[in-house]
Amino acid sequence: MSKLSKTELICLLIIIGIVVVMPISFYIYEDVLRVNRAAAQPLEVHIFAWASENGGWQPNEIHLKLNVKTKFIILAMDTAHSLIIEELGIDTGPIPPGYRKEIEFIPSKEGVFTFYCGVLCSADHHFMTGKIIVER
Amino acid sequence: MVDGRASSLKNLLTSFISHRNEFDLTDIEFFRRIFKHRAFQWAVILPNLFIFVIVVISGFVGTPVGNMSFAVVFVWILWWFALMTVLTPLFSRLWCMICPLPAFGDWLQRRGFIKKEGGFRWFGLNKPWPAPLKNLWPVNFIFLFIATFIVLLTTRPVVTSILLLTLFVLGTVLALLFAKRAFCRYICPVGGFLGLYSMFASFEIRPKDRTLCERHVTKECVRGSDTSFGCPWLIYPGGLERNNFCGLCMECIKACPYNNLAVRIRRFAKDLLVKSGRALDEVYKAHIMLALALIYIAITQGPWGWLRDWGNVFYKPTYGFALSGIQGFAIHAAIVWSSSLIIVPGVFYLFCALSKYLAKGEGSTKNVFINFSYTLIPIGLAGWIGFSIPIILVNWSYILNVISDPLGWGWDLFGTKYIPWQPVLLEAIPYLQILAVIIGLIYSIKYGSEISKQVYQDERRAVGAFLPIAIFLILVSILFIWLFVG
Repeated sequence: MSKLSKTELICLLIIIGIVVVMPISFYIYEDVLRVNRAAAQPLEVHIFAWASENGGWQPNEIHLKLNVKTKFIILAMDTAHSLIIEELGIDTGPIPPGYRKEIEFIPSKEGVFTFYCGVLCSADHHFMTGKIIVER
Repeated sequence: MVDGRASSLKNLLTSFISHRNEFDLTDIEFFRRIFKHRAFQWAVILPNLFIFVIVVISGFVGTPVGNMSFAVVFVWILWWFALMTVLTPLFSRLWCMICPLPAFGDWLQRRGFIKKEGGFRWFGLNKPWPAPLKNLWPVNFIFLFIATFIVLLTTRPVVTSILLLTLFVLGTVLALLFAKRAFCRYICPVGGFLGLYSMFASFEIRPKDRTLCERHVTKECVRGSDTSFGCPWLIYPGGLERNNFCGLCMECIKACPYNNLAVRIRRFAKDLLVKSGRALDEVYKAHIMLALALIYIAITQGPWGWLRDWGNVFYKPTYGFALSGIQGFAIHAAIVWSSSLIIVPGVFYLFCALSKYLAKGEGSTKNVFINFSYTLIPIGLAGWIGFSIPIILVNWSYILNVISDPLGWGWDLFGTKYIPWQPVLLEAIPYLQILAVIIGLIYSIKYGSEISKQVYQDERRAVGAFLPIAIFLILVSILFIWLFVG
């Protein structure tokens, strides 16, 4: 194989940049965002909202510390959803698909609470529930 | 000097409709230099490769929500609109010039990106494409197969990514097995209809002096030279009469030692009158495209929701009498295939038989069918333009949203993620659609009557023979307008 000329080498590097480096940079950027957010907040929980048929809440069991400021970042993945925890007085309101909503609160009661979606999001909407466990 | 420029501008502006004022871009030093530069094609593919990679990634790991997905928005809203209303009607197969799908295959075959060096040898097996498959039938069937899944393709990002990745891998593998652009010429489902509708385009590469090409022995435009790889599209640029298989890669411009190839802006639909190259496999593409335009308008823009549900193979009925996904999809597939391969061509064949009867023609009805099928190109393209207009006017703001958040992970890179959905010019859509259909009909009638004169020579017989075809074209136009505004 003949030696690559300088021009061809530059072309090759640009192609590698597009095909390999760019996709990796997406993940790096997302991780940096996460780290920055985590540094700014004592406890941050990412919650992915899928309709029940597509897997439901991910995660569907969340452990929180009593009286520690908490931030939920909820991303509606497939259709509009909302997150409601009646006992803690939380209701995000509808989140359109592909959007995220952030909500901050301090869990002030110990116990196990159910969270659920408040938008009629699919045929199996009523099964879209999860568990919040607030501990000392 | 000023007069000269004014005259050039006048030539350029009138070249779209007048056969007297064709405008050759290679007369301008700037364009000539660009077309001859070896880095030209690599440079124009690059931005598309960048977008292609994001499209594929977003389909696999991004949000599955259609209107928030970079894959769906960029491919089925932006690309489709640009392709059908701007790139193809104005610039022929310009998309093929900038398409990233065969790029890696090209680079592998050429053992490099830009340079053409002495002692060059093609990489790969370099086999000739099998003779029985040297036609458009494989493209027609592959296209029809993909077209059957239109509802999934346009709503599920992962399906779009799987399709694009498959075509990319296929393009690369075939480049290693077969000579030059066999994939683009005989397999690519996009290339099939681009080739057909590029006959209408106001853009062409043609030899300036055909006799010079005939006399020229070494034929660098095919075989390549020190500065060019020669035509990768398996055609002879010196004999070009129509756009169908010219991918505008500019290798022939680089190769020709006499600068005898022109890149012209010309009048629309010129190629419809070129007799050579007319064939059944090609005109079937015109029928498939016409049938699909009608079906897609009904499915995606019509008021019949159940028709759309049938196209979704994963559909779960939410009311008792609805068909299940498989049942509905079987009917949908039957409609798509039978309309494209039997009903539309069959009805047109009957009109052609009537045409032959009225003209007391001697030749076969099949020949009449092949010749007159080219009249379907302007009206078919007009139908697709009408179909594409609302897609962009209604959904354009999603393009801004996904640019800021290409994977749907909640980013807002450029501050456009939360721009609300804002359709524009909704009141104008039906008028624009009707305008497109009327312009398409005018071109179909104009060129159809010319084709009739070619087929029957005698003026009176030609007029009589064209009457049934004109009625068919008018009926198709009425059907389009009814689907758009009825």
